Amino acid sequence: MPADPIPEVASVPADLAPDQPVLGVADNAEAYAEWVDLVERIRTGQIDGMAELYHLFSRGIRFYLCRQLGPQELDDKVHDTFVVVVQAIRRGELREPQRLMGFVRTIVRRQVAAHIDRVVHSRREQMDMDSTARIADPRGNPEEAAIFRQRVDLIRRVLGELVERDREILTRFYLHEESQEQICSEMELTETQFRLLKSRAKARFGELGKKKLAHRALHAFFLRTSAGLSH
Amino acid sequence: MSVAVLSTFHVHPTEDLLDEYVFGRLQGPALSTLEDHLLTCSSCQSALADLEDYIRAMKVALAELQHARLAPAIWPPAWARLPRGTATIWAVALMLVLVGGAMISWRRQPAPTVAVTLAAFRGGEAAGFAYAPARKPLDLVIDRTSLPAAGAYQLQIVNGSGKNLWSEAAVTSYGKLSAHLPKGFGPGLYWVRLYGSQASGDVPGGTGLLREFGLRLE
Repeated sequence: MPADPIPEVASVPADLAPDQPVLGVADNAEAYAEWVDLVERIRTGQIDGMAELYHLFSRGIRFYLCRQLGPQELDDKVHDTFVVVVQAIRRGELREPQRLMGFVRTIVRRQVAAHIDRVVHSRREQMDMDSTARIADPRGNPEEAAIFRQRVDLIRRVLGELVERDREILTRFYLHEESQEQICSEMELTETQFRLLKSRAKARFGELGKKKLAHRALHAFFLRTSAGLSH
Repeated sequence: MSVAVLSTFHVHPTEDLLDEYVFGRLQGPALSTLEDHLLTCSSCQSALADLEDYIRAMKVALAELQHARLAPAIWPPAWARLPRGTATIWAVALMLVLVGGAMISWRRQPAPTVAVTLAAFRGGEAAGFAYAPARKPLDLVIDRTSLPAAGAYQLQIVNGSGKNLWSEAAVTSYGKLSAHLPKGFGPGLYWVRLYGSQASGDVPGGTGLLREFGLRLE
């Protein structure tokens, strides 16, 4: 467990440009020494080094691959990526140990790009293949689909309560993916007004969702209670 | 290795920053820095997953609301105000003729076009798919910001089996690519492919595939 908790930032500075680094970079002797030691252990094939590398990065790699490629064959993809990372370190391709995270991230991104490329080409070539066997339902299992549908209905209800202008702002941001700057400029909003609308809407969805869950829990409780009384 | 030493970053990203990341607007050092952080910070991974679920649901809800507003009314309200008595039969007959004529006229009018924004920030998950109504004309819109430069762009739609259903040159304006699909397709999952070429007139297959987007019609 870490001795020092990592502090959280409440908001992004107003003058931060998108191309500027937003998070600080630690640069101290202790961190450097630990990276060097870990990389050296991996390079020399020590099992504890590889185990530590897996422990540190497997969850993040799994998360990234799942976001980009979906949950299908995820264990295999994580394993393949891990193997590529270890082999690259052993070949001496990581020259600066303190850049291990960036190195791992670069390899993961390349794995994602290579996988997408393979899928696209195989789809172009196999025109008569049964597509349903290869394309997983993005909505997951029926229960997840039902939960998702309930959430959408909840959000529609709240959106219907908003004034047209607020609905337009949210439509432009979430559906048309316009930037905050563009929306604020064209609709004469301040950054604060925009953020308030976004956070109020999200908070409202959250409140209604909790009420719904509480109502459902209460309903289930009364059902169990009445079932018990009837026996 | 302690988390403080492992993580080269002392702060967690804000929700605004995660929004920018989800929508693919984060670039350069900021993108690298955030992704490095996400590799090792499980709390931020959870926050990002929750945010993506929320954005996915918002997209569907907003698209459905937009679609519902564009759907035209079929029956004119006056049909409910038919007079009673013996003249009713003639009035009903007259109304049927008028309504029939209105329906024929309505069917000849072009259906309202629905704008669909395509994004390719991930694959295989619901948030990577754009949703649109089936059998409606569509305006396909793509943000040019992160695309490689090309002399011309072409859009192609294929079905799940890879069969080419439609292709059209994309028009560039105000930093976006767009193309009009005059007749929609039936419900199902389709793939929209974006090709780039150095000169106009090139056809897909001889040029570079730049992106592929999922499009679910319902």
